Amino acid sequence: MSMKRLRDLSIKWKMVFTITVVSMVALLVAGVLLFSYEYSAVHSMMEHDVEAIANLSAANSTAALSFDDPKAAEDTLSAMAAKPAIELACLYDNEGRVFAAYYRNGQKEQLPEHPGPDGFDRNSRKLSLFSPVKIKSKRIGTLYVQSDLSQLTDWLKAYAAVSGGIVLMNAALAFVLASVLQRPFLAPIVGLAVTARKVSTNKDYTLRGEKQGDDELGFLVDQFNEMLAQIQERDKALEEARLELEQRVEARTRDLKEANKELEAFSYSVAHDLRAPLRGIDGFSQVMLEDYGTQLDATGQDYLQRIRKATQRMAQLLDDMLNLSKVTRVNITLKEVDLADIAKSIIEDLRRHDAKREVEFIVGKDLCVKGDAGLLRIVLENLLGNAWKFTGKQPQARIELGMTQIDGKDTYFVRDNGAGFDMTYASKLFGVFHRLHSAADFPGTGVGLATVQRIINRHGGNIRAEATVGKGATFYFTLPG
Amino acid sequence: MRATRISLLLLSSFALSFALTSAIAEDSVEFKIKAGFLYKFPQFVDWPPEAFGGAKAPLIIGVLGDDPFGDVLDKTVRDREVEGRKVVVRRYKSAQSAREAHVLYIGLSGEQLASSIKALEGAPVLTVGENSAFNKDGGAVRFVVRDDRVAFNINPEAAKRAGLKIRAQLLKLARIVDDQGE
Repeated sequence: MSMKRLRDLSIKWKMVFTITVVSMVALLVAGVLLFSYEYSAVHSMMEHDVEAIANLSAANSTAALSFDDPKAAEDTLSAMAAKPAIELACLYDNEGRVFAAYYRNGQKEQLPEHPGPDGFDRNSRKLSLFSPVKIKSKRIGTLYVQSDLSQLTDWLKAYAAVSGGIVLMNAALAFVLASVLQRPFLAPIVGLAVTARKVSTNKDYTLRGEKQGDDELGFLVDQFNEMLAQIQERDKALEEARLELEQRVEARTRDLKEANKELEAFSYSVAHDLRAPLRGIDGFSQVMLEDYGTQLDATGQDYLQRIRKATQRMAQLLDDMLNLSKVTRVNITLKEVDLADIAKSIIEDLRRHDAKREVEFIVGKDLCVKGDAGLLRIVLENLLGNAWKFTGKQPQARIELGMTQIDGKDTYFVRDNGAGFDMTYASKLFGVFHRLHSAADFPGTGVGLATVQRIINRHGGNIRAEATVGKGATFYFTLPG
Repeated sequence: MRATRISLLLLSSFALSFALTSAIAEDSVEFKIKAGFLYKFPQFVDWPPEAFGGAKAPLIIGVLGDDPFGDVLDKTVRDREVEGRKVVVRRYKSAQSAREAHVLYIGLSGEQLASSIKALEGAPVLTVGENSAFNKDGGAVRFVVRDDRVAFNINPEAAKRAGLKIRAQLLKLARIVDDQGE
């Protein structure tokens, strides 16, 4: 099982798994320790057995060896048959010659040619012992006894089977017990998890975890419930605040719309109503100049001319104001519009109007946008008109209309190399009646850019300007359509 | 006729001497083994404590009657010890004087043998002999040749009467006989 899958296991199975593994490991360790102890005990017991038999046989063989009676010695050795583990035994005389031998099941096996040093042969894979044969302290020969380890291997097998069975049984028992006993620990946690999931999926903060005891888990459930209560309360407060805010915004919007409407109606009627008397003043001034001009001296005629110019300027101002209010009121009808076409016709008009000037126009490609044709014409009229106007003192005037990508958005621009303006005042550029140049230098009403901004905004776009005094200005605008 | 008889005698004596020399050669090996046995028996026999004068008293191997060993026996036991006792060889003229021996080889036969064993009665002496009547006469250990090997018959009863204990190991090597020599 991979670590990842282990991590994703439910806490219940983690706990059951852990307990089972821990108990198995503990048992295995105990088993191994016990095994190693038992192994050495059994081994030394077997050595002891072989030693005892060897000592007995050695003692019983002394006479046979003394009186040179191999038959009698073989008789003595054949008593080894009582111990089936003993494979072979052999008696050497003092010269190291084989005197008598015993083979289990009569099968002849390789005898050590000469007796080795007394004691167990640690190099042998079996249990092999060289034991001295003595009469009192006098040595008369050597007895060799070799035992197989079948007893040990049998014991090993039995031990492995029994301990394997115990470990497996223990694992099963641990598994069952852990599965049963985990409940008091985990039921509150699982309950909490279920509640938490319900809360987060249903967004229902009225739910509460069930407390089952006064332990740490109970405390956790309490804290969880407390948190839910707090969230619920905060939600309620938030909802109330939101409702109140909504009502307030609604009221404000209503007020504002009303005020705006009134204001627009007012400015429209003012502009409209002011036009009539203005037309009177201009008309009568013209009549007076034509019919009674001869009766006035040059100064009188000049005054009348000034009156006419002022009224005409005021009429223009009123027209612009009406335009501005119209821009905010008319419905926008979106259509495919080619800005290049509009620009070309505007430029033609401007040239016809002021045929003396030499201005270079550059109109880019791909200038098709979605917008209201009439309103966009007003935009271009203003921007191109401004550019025309502010390049008036530039002998090599150049005006450019194009499109570029800024921050991944299609951005249109009108660029000129005219008077430019100080960027400090850029924020005031689009305000109504704000003019950065004197009327004497560049004539204008200060309403145009405000109108432009309003139109662009109504199309969901933005407009801004960049300029350097004496080097020209660029107006960037977007039209999301 | 006479000459023929002499020559025959000569011939036969010549042949006899030939046979004798080979017999002597065989005998010497046989008696070497027997001498070794005489020295080894004590290692498997227990004497009563009063059989020895003291802890350091020597173990006496005695020869009564004909001595077939010559110096072989003396050579065999030279510088040997049994359970811390020096082993000595003594030759006796009479059974009475031989009562001090621990192992006694009796080279007698017939009436002489029977009376000697009788004279040793009650003494802790392990009697050893070769005569076919040795066991019947009350001797304890009799050398025999079985399967071309020097072997021995033991009469445990006789040993017991002498106050000796013969260990089972030794008995195992011997043919056990009773007072009838069977």
